[in-house]
Amino acid sequence: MKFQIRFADQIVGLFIILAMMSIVFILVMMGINQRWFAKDYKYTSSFKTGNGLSVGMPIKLKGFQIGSVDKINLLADNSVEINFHIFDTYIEKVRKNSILELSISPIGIGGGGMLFHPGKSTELIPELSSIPSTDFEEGKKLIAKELVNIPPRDDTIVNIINDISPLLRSTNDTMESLALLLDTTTSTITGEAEGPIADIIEEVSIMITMLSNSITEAMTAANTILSDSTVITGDMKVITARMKDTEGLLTHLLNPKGTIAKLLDDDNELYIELYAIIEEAANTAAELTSFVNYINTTQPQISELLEGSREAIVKGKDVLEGLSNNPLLRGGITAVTEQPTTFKSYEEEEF
Amino acid sequence: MLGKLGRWLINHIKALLYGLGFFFQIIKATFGFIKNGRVGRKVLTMQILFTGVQALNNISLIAVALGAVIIIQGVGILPQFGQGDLIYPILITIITRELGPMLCAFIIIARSGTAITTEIGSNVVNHEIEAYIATGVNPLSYIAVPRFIGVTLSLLLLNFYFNFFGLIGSYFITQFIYPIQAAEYFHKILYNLHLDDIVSSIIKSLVFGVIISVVSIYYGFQVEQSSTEIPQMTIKAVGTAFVLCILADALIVLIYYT
Repeated sequence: MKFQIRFADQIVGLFIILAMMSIVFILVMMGINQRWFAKDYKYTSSFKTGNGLSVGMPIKLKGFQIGSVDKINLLADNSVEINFHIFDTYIEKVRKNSILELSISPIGIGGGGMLFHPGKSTELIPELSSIPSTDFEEGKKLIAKELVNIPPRDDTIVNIINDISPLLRSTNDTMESLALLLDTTTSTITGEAEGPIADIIEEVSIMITMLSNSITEAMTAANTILSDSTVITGDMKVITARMKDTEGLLTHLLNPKGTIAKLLDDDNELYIELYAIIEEAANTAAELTSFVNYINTTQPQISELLEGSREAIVKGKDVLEGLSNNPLLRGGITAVTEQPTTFKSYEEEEF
Repeated sequence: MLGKLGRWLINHIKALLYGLGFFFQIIKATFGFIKNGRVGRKVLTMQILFTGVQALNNISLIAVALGAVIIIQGVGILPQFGQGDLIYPILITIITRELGPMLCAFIIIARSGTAITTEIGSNVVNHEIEAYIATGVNPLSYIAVPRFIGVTLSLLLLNFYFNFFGLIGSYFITQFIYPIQAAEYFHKILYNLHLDDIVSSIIKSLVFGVIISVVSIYYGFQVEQSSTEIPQMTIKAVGTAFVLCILADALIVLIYYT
């Protein structure tokens, strides 16, 4: 503190001088960076519309800023005039036949700007002259006559495709993951894979085979019954036809050698024949009874088989729902309240 | 009730008029001081030493830290939105236009404003002011004006240092965390820094300096007899200076940018 008070004048003087130097340094550097002390050459140009134009907009030549827009005016003929300046370091680029082009990004995001295309002439354009733009015929003619140095343009579509490529790669990865998931699902369903789903599918397959065998057995029995019924039906037809023939019946009845006479005196031949028919009908009835009994005995098995099939179908439905709600697609298997079957076999019935 | 309100209003108007009169007396005495500066030159030098030089370490530390934090946060966040270059206008707005003058003012209020009020209050209580008058020395010229000029000038100079350290010094701190190309950084800072920003900053510093010094001196002279009045006036001086600085800042922004 004593030092500071002793040399207060010097310290305060240094404090003030350094502060002044710092602000002067900043101002000088600002001036250099913002071209306060450089001469700019002023020009004008015209455009059909003011869209995309703005004050302070940089004018670029091959990516280098060579000037900027100072002022934008709407003229009486509804064209737009701009006043702009070119830096003195690039004044030799402002040659005769130079043109201005307002470049706007085709996708509307960045990339636009005011482009300066120098003419191929060696003669410089004087200050305050008008430089044609590509919006008007004069500029287009200069390009058509190849009097302007226009650099090759970037392929916008290629640029867009380059931008889209990462997105496509990401989509491709997702599709590959989905294909892998579908392969796994397919192999599970076809029984090639291992796991709880494959076990369920195998059980369903066994149940279906058992059901098929049972149906085949039932069909065989039914065929036997049908063949027996056919024989009975044939006999019944013969009897019916004979009964319908009344005249023949009376003749036969009155004929001493007819059926009645023969029935009464035929050494029990008719009786034996009738007895045989009845006996055959009794056998058929017995076979029918045995088939009905068989059906009754196999019905619980069929019932169990159908119940198993139903449960398997419900589980299969859950599996399919689980697959459709896979975490990559959606979420989880919906909880289902189990509805017990109301069907019971006759053996379980209480009387 | 109405009578109380009326008295309150009349008293405040009187106080305001007295304050304005006091301010013009100081301005008038300042011109006299510039003509005959030898009288209070040493007082002015010491005031700049205490207010400016001794506050420089605090100011520079705050400026560098604030600038570095803005750059680090900006460089980390803004490029994610494709607005990386926005860091430079933000840095200039905060350091040069707004927080620079205001933070300097707050530090000067806390350090020097309180000291000035306390010192002048003690002079009044100890009848030193009466002694000055008795010996033919104008207390405004010898006590108030050097402090007025010293505080105002110190705040202006500290604001220059704040800008220098905030814009340039913070770059070197940032290099430890986010290395940025020096040429690119300084080019963009100097390209985005406009004369308007600097003029605005200077105007704010001068106005804040005038407010802090006048308010501190005014409340110092408001002490009448007892030493217990000194802390009360000091608190009043700090509160009033804070409020007036904030109001003045809002007013300058309103006038300057509309």
